[in-house]
Amino acid sequence: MKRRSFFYLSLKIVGAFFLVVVARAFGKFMFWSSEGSKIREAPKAILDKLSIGEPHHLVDAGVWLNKTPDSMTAFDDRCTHLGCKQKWNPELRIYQCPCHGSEFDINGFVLKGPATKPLNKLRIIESKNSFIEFVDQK
Amino acid sequence: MSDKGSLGSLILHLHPRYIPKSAVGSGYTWCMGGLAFLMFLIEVITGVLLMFQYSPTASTAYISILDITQVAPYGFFIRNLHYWVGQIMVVFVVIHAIRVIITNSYAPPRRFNWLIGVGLLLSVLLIDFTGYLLIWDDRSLWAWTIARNLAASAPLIGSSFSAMLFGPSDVGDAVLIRLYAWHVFFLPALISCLVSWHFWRIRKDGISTPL
Repeated sequence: MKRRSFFYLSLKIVGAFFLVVVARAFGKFMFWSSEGSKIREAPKAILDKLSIGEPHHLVDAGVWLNKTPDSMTAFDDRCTHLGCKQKWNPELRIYQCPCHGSEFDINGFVLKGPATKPLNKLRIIESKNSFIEFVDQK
Repeated sequence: MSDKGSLGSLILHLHPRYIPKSAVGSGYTWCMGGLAFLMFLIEVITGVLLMFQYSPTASTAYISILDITQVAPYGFFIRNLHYWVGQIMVVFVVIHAIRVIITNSYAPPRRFNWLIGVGLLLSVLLIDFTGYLLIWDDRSLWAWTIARNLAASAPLIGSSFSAMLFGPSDVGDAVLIRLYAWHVFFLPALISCLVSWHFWRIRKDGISTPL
């Protein structure tokens, strides 16, 4: 095989591989549905790792889970202003939105705007399998 | 050449039979027109993909943007590609216009093609701006408010022009769907027509040669 032919063949193989990778990524994006992401669940084993009064972020479920001495609360991790994911500040013991600075107390009530609505509280359901589910109360 | 129509001329421009070698050297043209067209094609592909996931209603638009960026597979890549290629396209179109001015290529017989190019520049700026508004966050809303008031301040046609371009004064679904229609249909269609016309005029008037 001539050097030029080898070069063109290599170029075609690399190009085809690149096209397959891009087509796969585009295909996965096109066929993804936001409905599927609304199933919020976490393994029950996570409950053992929780400390009382220290909210734990379940990133995949999009939930802040907090254990109190007698119960448990779960909040949607999106700010009620424009939907950014709020962070828990352990020193100030408040939720803070990184986008526009809204602040919420540990019970989800607004301390500082621009958000006006409290954090979206989720219902916790212990399913029969080894998972707990979080359901929007609306 | 004209009997082949715009599409035939477009293909002929991309694969021309004969043009002066000196006129296509990258040192002279800087490749900016062709690169801007390539950016437009990438914008169309990534834009169509984003249409599968973007939700153009006032209550869901920003959430769908967050979903695209944070949850959808490869969404961050596709959205960032769409965003940055859009910015680069504006830069390329501006540099292309500067090159045309520097090399005096706007002068007759290419004066009409220069006007088409100016139309393309305005269309590209407008499609970039409407895309910015579709994010529908605080900055978008203020940008929309300022742009609408600016357009409304034009004499005689101001109020009707701003309503036609930016929708009613009440923020809501009617505004967003109008911006969406401009961004995904009318402006891309206009740019496609103007680009085809631009290329056809290059064939018709002849490509400009170095000074």
